[in-house]
Amino acid sequence: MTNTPIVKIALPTKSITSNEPRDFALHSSYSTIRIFAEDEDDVTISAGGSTTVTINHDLGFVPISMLFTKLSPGHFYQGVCIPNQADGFPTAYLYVSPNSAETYVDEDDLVFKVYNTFGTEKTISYHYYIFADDGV
Amino acid sequence: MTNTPIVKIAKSGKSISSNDIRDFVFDSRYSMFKYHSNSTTSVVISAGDTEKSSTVSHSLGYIPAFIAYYKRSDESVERLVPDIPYGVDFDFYPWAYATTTGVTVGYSYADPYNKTQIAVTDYWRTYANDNNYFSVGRISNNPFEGAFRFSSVAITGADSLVSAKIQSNVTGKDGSGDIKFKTYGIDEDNTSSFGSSPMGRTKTTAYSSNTRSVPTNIGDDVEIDVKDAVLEIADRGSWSSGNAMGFIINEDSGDSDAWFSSTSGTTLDLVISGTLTISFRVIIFKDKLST
Repeated sequence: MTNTPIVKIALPTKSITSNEPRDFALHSSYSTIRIFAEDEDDVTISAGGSTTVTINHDLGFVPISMLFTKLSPGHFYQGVCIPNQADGFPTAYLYVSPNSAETYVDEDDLVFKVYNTFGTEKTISYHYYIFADDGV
Repeated sequence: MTNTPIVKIAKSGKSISSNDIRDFVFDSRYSMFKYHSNSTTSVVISAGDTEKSSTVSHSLGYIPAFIAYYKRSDESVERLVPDIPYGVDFDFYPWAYATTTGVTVGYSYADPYNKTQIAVTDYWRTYANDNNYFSVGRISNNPFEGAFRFSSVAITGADSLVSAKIQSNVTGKDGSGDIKFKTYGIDEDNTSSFGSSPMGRTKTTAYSSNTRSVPTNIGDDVEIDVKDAVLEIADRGSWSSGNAMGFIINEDSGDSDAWFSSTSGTTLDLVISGTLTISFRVIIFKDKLST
């Protein structure tokens, strides 16, 4: 019989013998969410139009992913989102499509589609994270 | 040439030399989110509100990554923000965004919270004594008036009303000057349809008075406050939620040639008291999204 070694780093003031997972900065019994790829970029959307952004990862599995989009100056919204009323909804606004055929992650890509209901072209920033773990 | 040392911890049962990045608990070649803070906040949405928000400060000096969760007080589950449905209208939804100073979370309603909109079922006008139209005002100084009926009015005497308004969709108008009228409820438990004139039915003690100019555009809404009349009817001993409610509009000595009419699109808008609390948990990371 062999023992599996365990690596643990306790948080300050916490005991290394604690049974509470939250008490550790690192614990080899629990996997960490490692960032495989991240980047910030811009996308331009025509007046009343939409633009699809495709981020290739080629991991061969469907990874956990996060997306933030700057739907209003200085405001990075989380995920598949529409902005609040102060940022234009429902009069004129930008949003990330909630349609699963337009916004999704598969074994090759992270894909999202941004719609622009303004009467002028808009360029917005986005920041994505692709993690080194199965999302499904 | 120097080699960069690599620290790896393989998952139990996995090889340290695996090429599958999922096989590791930790791998120093890949960064991880660094925890900054974990905070809770909440907003209370009251009847008539369309949006409420709250901000958790972070003092990082840049825009950080974050995760937010929310829980409605009428549900027992935590949900991840955002929570946007597809294929239906964006009637209500939570949202969250980060700035250089904080993470703001909130909840929005397309229509005021607890607002119920009931479509008109019957019109009456004395101008032609028929039930195809409503009209009020004067033509050549002859007064004309009318009535509305709404079926399936969901309110009880125990409900507290924030507001009750008839939104009369203007489909005809003419003249200039002021239209003046008083609006009463029909003081009945379940007023019947307008097969014949309802103008002689018993009226509530409560009424509202309106003085307004001729509407500017076809398609405008004329707003008529009926809160007190609705409460008086709902307080009747035999009133039941879901019954029909009616209103009589009497002309009140307005200018000689000023009127409007409606033949479609009129609604009774009720906003009933009540609150909804949205509790948020906001987890902020030290990882930077943007400056």
